[in-house]
Amino acid sequence: MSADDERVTTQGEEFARALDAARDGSEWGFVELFRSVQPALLRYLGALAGPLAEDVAAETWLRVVHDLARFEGDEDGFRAWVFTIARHRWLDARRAAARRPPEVYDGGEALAEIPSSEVVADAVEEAMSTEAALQLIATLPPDQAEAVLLRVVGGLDVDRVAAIMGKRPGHVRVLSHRGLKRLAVLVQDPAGSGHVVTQRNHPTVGRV
Amino acid sequence: MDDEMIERLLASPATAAEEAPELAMLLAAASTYPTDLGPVAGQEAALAAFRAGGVAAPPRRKRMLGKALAAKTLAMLGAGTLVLGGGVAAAAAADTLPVPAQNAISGAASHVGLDFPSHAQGNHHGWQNSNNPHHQGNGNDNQGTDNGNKDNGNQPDNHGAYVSGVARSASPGPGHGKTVSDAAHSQDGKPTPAQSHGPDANATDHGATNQSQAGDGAPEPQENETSEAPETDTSGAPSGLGSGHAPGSHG
Repeated sequence: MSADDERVTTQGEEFARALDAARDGSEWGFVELFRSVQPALLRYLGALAGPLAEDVAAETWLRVVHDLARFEGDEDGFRAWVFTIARHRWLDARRAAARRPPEVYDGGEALAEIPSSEVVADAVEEAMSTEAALQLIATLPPDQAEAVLLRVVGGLDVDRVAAIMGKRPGHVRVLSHRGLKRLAVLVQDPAGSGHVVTQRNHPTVGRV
Repeated sequence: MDDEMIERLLASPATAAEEAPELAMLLAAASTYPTDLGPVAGQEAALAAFRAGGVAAPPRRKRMLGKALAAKTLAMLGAGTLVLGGGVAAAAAADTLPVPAQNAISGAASHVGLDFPSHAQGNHHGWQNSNNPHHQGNGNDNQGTDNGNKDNGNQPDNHGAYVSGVARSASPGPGHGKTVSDAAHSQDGKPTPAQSHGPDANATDHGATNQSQAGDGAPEPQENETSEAPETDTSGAPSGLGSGHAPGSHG
């Protein structure tokens, strides 16, 4: 976990205390765990599941509550566990709505709506908002977007991301590198294919 | 943008802010948020679920494994007992066991109401079963009664059976009583003096209970019921325990 950002995390012993307290039924402990993961989880799911993000997150926490006593590990392990559950729930939701394509990957439609590279450049120069940043990441190919989100938003290392995505670490590394290079092009090359996605496509993004 | 810088951006966007300020800003914006948030979206719902369902019980793999092993062991023991017991029972029923084993099983089985042949039975002298220490309970008396009814005078096992047979076979009429009386006073069916030492010796060895068994069948069931009372209590224990477990199981 990097020390440079402001991710809401519960470090070390504090996490262990919160976990033990939650296992003992303490609401305080559970709230600590929840707040340490939920913002990142919503951003991850917002990019993947779009309007289903909050529902998927709610189902994820139901499972977490149910299985919390069985969890063993540190904070990173807990985050990886929660993200794994969330991914499975998202896949379930996607199967349930098989005829509805995941909006998060509908980059072509977003590009058609707002193909303005100037908007992207302006957004970066004017201190890009969280919402715009997530929407830009969401325009990446699905695997690349997920790898970047899990690594950057989820704060997980390559091995944990690989485990969550069911891929080899080397593949995850390639995906995240390609995704970042693509993002770099999008934010640096106004003449490129830079575009942003409107909030109505991803109503949950940036709402945490 | 090389791989090393990309890795730094992924792990910590701010560390690559100088080399790639736009991308670092984008990633930082995606991964950070205010720390003084109020309730996070979904917090109340998750907390409600936590309050409602609580946390599932801790894993009980070891306990469940132990229970499974215990159940499996009991099942194997039970199956083995059935196989062995069934085999022994079959052998006992077929009267193919060695004499001591056959007599022992016959005596034990008689306590639970099963009638397995004993080698003492083979000579059709029910009273001789009293020589068998295992035949001092119901089995002995049942055998005596059964033999008396079964053989019915052809070859009476004892004096009583002989008299009973005579009473049934004698034609009714004025002389019926005398015929039966004569039969009762005869020596038919009575043990020879040499044989009579058996029950007496048994009575000496085993005390008054055996005397009452040898002398009178009627009190014997009472004696046995009295002596088996603890066993009855013991056999009743499971039901008592069962009822005792019930509250626990409900609890």
